[in-house]
Order: sequence, then C-alpha cells, then structure tokens
Amino acid sequence: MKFGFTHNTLLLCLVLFLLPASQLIAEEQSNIDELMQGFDDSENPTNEDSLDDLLEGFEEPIQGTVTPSTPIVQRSWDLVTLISLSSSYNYQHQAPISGEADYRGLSRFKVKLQPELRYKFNNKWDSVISANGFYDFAYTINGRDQYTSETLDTYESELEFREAYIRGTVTRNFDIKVGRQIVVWGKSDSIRVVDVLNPLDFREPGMVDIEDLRLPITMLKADYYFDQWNLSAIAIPEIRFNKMPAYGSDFYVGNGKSPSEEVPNDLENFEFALALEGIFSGWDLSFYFAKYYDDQAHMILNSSNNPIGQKHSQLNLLGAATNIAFGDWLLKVETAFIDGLEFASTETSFSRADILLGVDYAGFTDTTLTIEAVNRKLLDYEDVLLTSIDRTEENEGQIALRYSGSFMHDKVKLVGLIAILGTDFDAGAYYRGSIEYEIMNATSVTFGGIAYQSGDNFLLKNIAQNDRLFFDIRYSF
Amino acid sequence: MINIQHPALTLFLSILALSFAFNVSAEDAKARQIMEKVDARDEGDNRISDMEMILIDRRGNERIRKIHSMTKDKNEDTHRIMFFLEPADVTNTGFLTYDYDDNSRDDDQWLYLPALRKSKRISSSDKSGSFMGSDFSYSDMTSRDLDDYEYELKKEMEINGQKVWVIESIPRSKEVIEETGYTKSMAFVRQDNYVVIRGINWVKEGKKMKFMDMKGLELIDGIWTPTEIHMTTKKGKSTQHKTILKFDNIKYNQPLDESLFTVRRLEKGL
Repeated sequence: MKFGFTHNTLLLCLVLFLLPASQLIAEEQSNIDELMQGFDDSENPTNEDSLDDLLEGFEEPIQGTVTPSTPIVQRSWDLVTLISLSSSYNYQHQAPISGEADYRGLSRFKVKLQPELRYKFNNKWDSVISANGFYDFAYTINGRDQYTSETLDTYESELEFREAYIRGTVTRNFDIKVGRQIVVWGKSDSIRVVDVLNPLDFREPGMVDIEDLRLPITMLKADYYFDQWNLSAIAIPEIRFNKMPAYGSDFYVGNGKSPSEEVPNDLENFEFALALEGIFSGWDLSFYFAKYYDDQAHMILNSSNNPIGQKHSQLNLLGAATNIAFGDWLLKVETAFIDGLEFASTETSFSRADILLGVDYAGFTDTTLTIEAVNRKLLDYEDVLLTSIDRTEENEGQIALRYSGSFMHDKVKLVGLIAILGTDFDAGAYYRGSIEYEIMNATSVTFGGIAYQSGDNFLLKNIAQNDRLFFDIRYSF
Repeated sequence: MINIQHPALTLFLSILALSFAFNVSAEDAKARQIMEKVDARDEGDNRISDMEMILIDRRGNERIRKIHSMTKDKNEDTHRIMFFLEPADVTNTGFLTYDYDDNSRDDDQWLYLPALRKSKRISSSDKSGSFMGSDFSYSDMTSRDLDDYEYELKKEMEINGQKVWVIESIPRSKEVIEETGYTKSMAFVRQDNYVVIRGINWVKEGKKMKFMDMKGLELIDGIWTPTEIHMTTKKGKSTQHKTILKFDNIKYNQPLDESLFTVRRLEKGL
C-alpha cells in the first residue's frame, strides 16, 4: 500500500505551515504555468511565458462545430488497389554448372497490381472480387534464354482472379458465402496444423507476401450462429493444390522434371468440412472435421522405382484448437488426427497425429513475441518411408520463434522469424527479418533478408544457397 | 468504474481517480466529489461516430487514418467495434473490444487483419502501447478503476473563459503505472459541465509528457461530446509527435444490436 506523501504533497504541507496563503497560490501558479507550456503549439516556448500568455494560444473556442477535413463518405462500393515493386538479390548462390541458369544476383524485379472491388448490395449482402497480376522483369534483365519454360511460366508473369464471392445474412443466425474464398482454421500464426482448406503458394518458400500465401478456392460455406458458437458447413467443389517451385528454378529440388499430377474430377470429388467454433470470455475452443485432398502430392513409382506420376491423397482430418488468454500471455493449442496419408514406397495408407503448442507474449510495449512448436507423428511407421523417395521420418518437428514490434508511432515495423525443423533441430532452418517504414499514407518500403540453413530436410538441403536480400515498395489507393 | 463511450472521454476520465483515505485533506475530499460528478456525467449509449486520426511527426509530416466506430454499454461493461476505412492499405482492418467493468478481469480484444483473413485474439494487460500508432495509448481507450488513484485538487483557474478545477492524480500502485505507462496525470475539469478539457500525463519512460487538449466540444442529444482532441507528446519543450482526433457524424441512442459487437461482424467488415 502506498501513502500519498509525494514530493508535491510534502512540499504543499510545508508551505501550508510556513508561508502565507498568497505565497502558496503563487507557487502553485508557477508550477502549473510551467506545465501549461506543453499546450503551446510552438516548438520552443519561452520560460517567460505566463499562464495568460499561454492561454492566448487557444484561439479556438472550446464550443463549436468541428468537421473532419475530408468527411468520410460511406459508399456501396469500394475499390482498393495495391501496386508494388518487389525486388530481391541472391547473395549466396554459387556459379552455375554449364547449361543451368545463373541464380546469382538479381532474382526478382516484380511489378504487381492487385485490385479488389467490394460491393455492398444492402446491409445483409455484399460481394468481393479481386485479381492478382504481376510481371517480373528480372528474367528479361538476366536473359530469358537461360531459364526453363516452366520457370518462366511460373515466375515471370501471372494474371488470375483471387477471391470472388457473394456473402449474405439469410436469417438472424444464418450466413452463407459462395464463391472463391479463403477460410482460415486454427489459432497458430507460423505453423499450420488444422489450417488445411486452402492450398498455399510454395513457389518461393519464405518469400511470398502474406496476403498471397493462401490460394482461394471455390466454396459454399454456410454458418449457423447460436449462443457463443458458430457451426460452419463447407462444400468445396474446386480442387486446387499448392503452387510448387517450377522445374529449373532455384527452389526446385528434383533431379528431373516431375511427372504429371493426377487431378481429381472436380464434380465427383467434392471436399467437405465442418467446424464448430466457440468464443468465450478469455478463451476460444474449436473443433474441425475435413474430408479433403492433400495439397502436396506424393510420387507414383513404376516397378523400377522410377516416378511415373503424382497423386494427392484423400485425407480425413479431425482436429481441435483452443486459445486461452491470461494477462499478457495467449496460449495456443492445436491438435489433429489425419487419416489416409499415402506414400510412394508403400501401398499402406497411414495416419498421423499432430500437436502444436504455442504462446504469444505481449508484455513489452508495442511488441509481440511468439513461440510455436509442433510434432507430427506418423502412426504404424515403416522404415522404408525414410530410406525411399518419400524421405519421411516417424516424427517431424518444427519450432518457430517470431518477433514483431512497432516503433515511431507505427511508422516502423520490425519482424523477425526463426523456424527450425527437426525433432532434434537437425533438419535445417530458415531465418527471416524485415523492417518496414511507412513513408506516407498507404505507402511503405520494406527491406529484409532471408537465409536458409541446410539440414536433414530434403528441401532445405537443396535450397540452402538461396539466401536473399529483398526490398519492396508498396502503394495502396 | 467509469463507463466510457468515447475514446477521448476514456482518456479524460482515466486520468482521474479518487482520493486515498490516508491523505485526506479538505481539498482531496473536494477533488473526490468533483470526480464522482465527472464519473456520473451522462456520456450516452449506443453511439456511432466517424473518427479522423491525424498523426503528425516532429517534422510536420502527416499520416491520416479514418475509422468508423460503434459503442454499446452492456450492463456495466462496454463493447466497442472499430473499422478502418482509410488509408487504403488498412481498409477493413477491424478491432473489437469488450471492456469489462470488473478490474480483475482482462478485457477481451480481437483484431481482424484482412491480409490474414483471420481474427486474432489479443491478450495484453499492458495498455501503455500506442493505439494504432497514435499518441493515445490503449489505456486511454479503455476504462480504469478510479480507486487505483490518489487525487488532489491543485487549484482553480480559467481556460477560455471557463472555470476549471485542476486535479492531480497519482497511481496508487506500480502495477497501475506499468499497465497505463503514466506515473502521474493532471486534469482540467470544467466547472459548469464536469468535462475534462485538458490533461497532462507524465509518461513512465523516456521523460516524456503528453498534453491532451480538447479543441472541440459540442452538446449532442443533451450530452457534452468532444469533437476534436489534440494529444501532443513532448520531451522537455520539444514536440515529439502529435495526434489530432476529429469526430463527425456522432449519434447516440442508435439501434445497435448486440450482434454488431461480435467476431462474426468484425470479419464481415462495415
């Protein structure tokens, strides 16, 4: 317990006993006059400023109508466009062997345009349509002839619709959302356990903008809300898989071209999903079920163990996730049981149990620290999975440490991420750090770097030379 | 507990506290009475408003955010939802807060970031951080327990022809200082309507001070409502940063259904 005898109070008591009232008033007046200088708009108020002088600075009356300088107009439509110039420089790659592309130096000089149109029909219905287009001049600058056609097709340019949906409230407790969309499951930020519905853009692991990472797919989503719960039922007619590194690119890890993929017939192979999510004071709880295709394919081998095709397993997921907030801490837990995993080296299908533990700490001002760790255990494991082309261990672990902080009134944002793979931290790692500076409204520049550390993980072992520095400038209007 | 309907009002009221029993003088008792009246002042309910937030750095460079907010009282608690309208790179970002009257209970907060397509629960009892990059802190935006402070009436004076009481508040514990980031505050309370029209906050770190100045005050639906507030952070006499909040389209007693203050609504946007 603290008693109220501060310096000011003590001084006040002494003064009360020792000085006449007029002197006391003068003393208080002096202190407050000094403080009042803080309200002065001038950078260097003088010590001679009296209280009256300072008060003259308040020319505007206290009462009076104040109108925002540019009134906010709420329209039924809203078009937001992002335009960006993104560049990267590979500082680690070694000279190519004869006939291969040279990936040293400039590896990206991409201009991207991303418009998004929102239209609100009324208070209950709205729609969104967005597109993504880019052209990467790095390939022209470096000489297009050295790259494979797959590389140019995948990385040089792109034009596609992203989200395109209509959403509405049918009744007080019932919403529907139809069209290409993104649905995010789970509570974690850096590692996915139950977030399985949307495929991902893995063309340049670690280098994809967060808003582009998840690929939208066509869904029919119905949400029913009751008490503090939300029951979602989702049908997914569009079967779409991860975007993977192209043959010939510096992120492609195979020796030759990958064989073609079996793509399930959309109309006969709907994916389905159910989610029950509760939001309570201080904690959340969610349950998930999904019948879906593995977004990452496995190889199909012939009798000579040569790849002749790629197939996506049909999986069943049963999962749960929770958030528990206490003070500056946010605990995150996700768990999933996945059934139907297939591999190249065996006819057996497998089940896997995943568990993720994570925590956010926000006790430092304008800073969030996050740690997440996952273990994925393949049940009824067979050793052939490790020695074959599958290169899959019984237990696969990953830990991710993330720092994000903002400074100078959100003008500067620092983000750091360390991701280490392997239950013994021996599978490799990658490190990414960036600093973003907001130059003016809706305009920012970002500088950063990413480094890949080789390890037992097949991907990281083969892309360890791909360390990059990057510089982006973004403008939204 | 103060029931705040307005971010700025939250600031004004949060810097005010009741006097501590041991340090009671005639002036402290009067300060408490004043603050009880400030606390009891009608601040309206079911409020909607548009807010323009102008961030000005020491070189005079401006950044502008525009926000639509809705606030509703639920018994003694306050629910608030805000949607960013501008600039374009933060459009549709939303922030939902359940501010509980019970001081022992952490607020529930969620942030919706369109880039992630995800609502993220925010867990932080440290409210000293900058609110959306402004000179206002999160503690300025949420209510506080008046019993956390000692109060002293310093003097009476006039500001813009209005008689005010100058009341100093000092946190009663280190925990309150840690949570709010302020070691001391001074409020200038108008004597005719019990509105705090100026405030000074001593920031715990960096030897900084924050000066809040209400530049606009209107009587809307019978409720004294700030329409323009300046918050200036100074170190010594040097201005470090300044935030101007301008409010428009303020309406009270709107038919705001509880379903507006949900994560469901947060993700749908305005």
